[in-house]
Amino acid sequence: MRNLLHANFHRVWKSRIFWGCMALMLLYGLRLVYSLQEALQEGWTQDHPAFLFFTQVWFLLAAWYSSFLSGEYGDGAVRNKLAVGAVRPAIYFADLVTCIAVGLMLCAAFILPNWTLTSFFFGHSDAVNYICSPGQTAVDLLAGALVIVSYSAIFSAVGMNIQHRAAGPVVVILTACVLYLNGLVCDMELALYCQAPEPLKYSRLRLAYDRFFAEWLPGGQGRYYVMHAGSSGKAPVLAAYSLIVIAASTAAGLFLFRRKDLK
Amino acid sequence: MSARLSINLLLRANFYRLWRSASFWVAVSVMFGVGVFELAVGVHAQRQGTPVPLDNRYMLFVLMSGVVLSAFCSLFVGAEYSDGAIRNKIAVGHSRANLYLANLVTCSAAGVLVCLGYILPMTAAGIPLMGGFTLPLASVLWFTLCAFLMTAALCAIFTMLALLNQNKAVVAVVCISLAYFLLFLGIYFNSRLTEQAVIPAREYIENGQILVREAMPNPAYVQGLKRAIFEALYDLPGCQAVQLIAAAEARPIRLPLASLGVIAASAAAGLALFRRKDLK
Repeated sequence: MRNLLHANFHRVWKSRIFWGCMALMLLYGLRLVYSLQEALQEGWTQDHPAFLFFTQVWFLLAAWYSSFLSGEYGDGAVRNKLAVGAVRPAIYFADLVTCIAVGLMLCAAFILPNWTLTSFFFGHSDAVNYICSPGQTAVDLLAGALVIVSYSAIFSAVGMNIQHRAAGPVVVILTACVLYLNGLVCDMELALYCQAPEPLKYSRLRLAYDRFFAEWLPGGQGRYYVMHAGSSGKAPVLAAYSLIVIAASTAAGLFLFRRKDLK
Repeated sequence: MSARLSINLLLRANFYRLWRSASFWVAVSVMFGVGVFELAVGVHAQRQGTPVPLDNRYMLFVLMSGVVLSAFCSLFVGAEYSDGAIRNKIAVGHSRANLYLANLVTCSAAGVLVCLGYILPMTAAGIPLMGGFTLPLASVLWFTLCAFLMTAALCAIFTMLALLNQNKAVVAVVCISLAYFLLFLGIYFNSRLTEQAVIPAREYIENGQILVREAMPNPAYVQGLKRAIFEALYDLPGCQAVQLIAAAEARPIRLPLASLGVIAASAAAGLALFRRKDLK
C-alpha cells in the first residue's frame, strides 16, 4: 500500500493538470479577496469565513481524477500493479486516498490565501465580523473535509469500475455535474418548501429525493456550507450522512472492483 | 478516387459506426429520458393548477444538449484515433480535409438526432397532454431550427477539439468543461444584460415617516462598447441556450447567423491545424 501511494503521489506531483487545478483554486481565492473589498464598499458584511471553494472544487477534482484515471487504465498501470503483486483492495484504497488528498490540497489552495488575506486586510473592519466561534468554524471545516472524502469515494466507486479509457473519465465528470447541480436545485426546492407560508404539495417521493441530494450527497452539502457555514449547528448531522455515503460507496466500489475482469 | 466519392465513402463508414455506437444511443436515451421527465413535471404542475405552457418545457433540451454532445463527440471522434481508423483512412487515399468534414457532418447530424430524442416525446405526448404551443407554429419551427444550428455549432467546436488532440480523456474533460463554461457564461450575460438602466423611485417607511428615494441610474447597467461585446458573446453557441429557453425574448435573426459563423470559423481553423497535425 505504501509503495502504491508513493507511486500515485509521484504521478500527482508530475501532473500538469493537478498544478493547473491548484493554480485555479489559488486564483479564485485571491479574486474573492479582491471582490470582497468592492462588496464591503457597497455595504456588504461577511459573518463567516468563505466556504465558496465548494462551488469550484467538485469540478476541478473530477477533472483531475479523470486524467489520473485515464492513466491508470490507459497506460496499463492497474495491470502492472497487479502483476507486481499488489492486491486489488490496496490498489483501490491507494487511488481513493490519493483522490482525497488532492481534493483537500485543492481546498487548502483556496483557504490558506483567502482566509489569511481576508483577516489581514479586513479583520479589523466592522464589515467582516464573524458571528461563529473558531470552534464552530473548525467543526464546519472538518465536516467540509468529509464532503471532499464523499466526492472522492463516489468518483472512485464509479471510475475504478469503468475500464474504458475515455468512458471512465466522462462518466466521472458527468457524475460530478449531476451531484453538484442536482444538489443545488434540490437544496433550493427544500428551502422553498420549508419557507412557504402555505404547505406546498410535494409528494413524499419528491421530498425524499430532494433531501437525499441536498443533505446526504456532497453536492447539496457543499452548497449548505457555502450558504450557512457557522450559522447553524447542522454540520454534525451532515457529517454523519457523509460517513454513511462514504462507507456505502466505498463498499460497493470495492466489491465490484474485486470481481472486475481486468483485461 | 474523386473527392466527392471519397467523402461519400467516409460518410457512409461514419454513419455505419454511428448506428452501432453505444455512446450515441446512450446520448439519445438520456435526452429521451429527460424529455419524458420534463413532460411529466409539466403535466403534474398543470394538474395542480399551475399554468405551464408547453413552450416552457419544449426548449429545455438546449440546456442539456451541449453537455451530452460534448461527451458523445469526444468519445465518437476519439475512437478514430484509438482504433487507428484515421491512419487507415489516410493510408487508403482519403484527404485530411474530407476526413475532417466527414466527422463534422456526422457529429452535427448525431447532435440533431440526439435533440430529436427529447423533442419526440415532448411533442408526441406533450401536445395532447399539455395543450398546444402558445407561440405561433412558425416561431416554434424557427426556434427549433436555431436550436439545431446551435447544436451543430457546438458539435463543430467539439469535433475540432477532438480531432486536434489524440488523448481521449483530455478531450472529454476539455469538451465537457467548455460546454458548462459556455452555459454559465450565458447565464452571466443574461443577468448582466437584463439589468434595468434606471432604478425606479420608491417609497419606504423609516422611523414612522414615509420617505421617497428618487429614481437613480443603475450602476450595474452595462452600456456602450462593453454592452456591444457582451451582446456579441451572448450569441455564442452554448450562451444562446439561455436565450432559446425564453424563445419569445430571443433575437431570432442573430442566433442562426452566429451559429453559422462559429461553424465556419471552427471548421476553417480546425481544418488548417488538422492538415499540419502529426498523426503518429
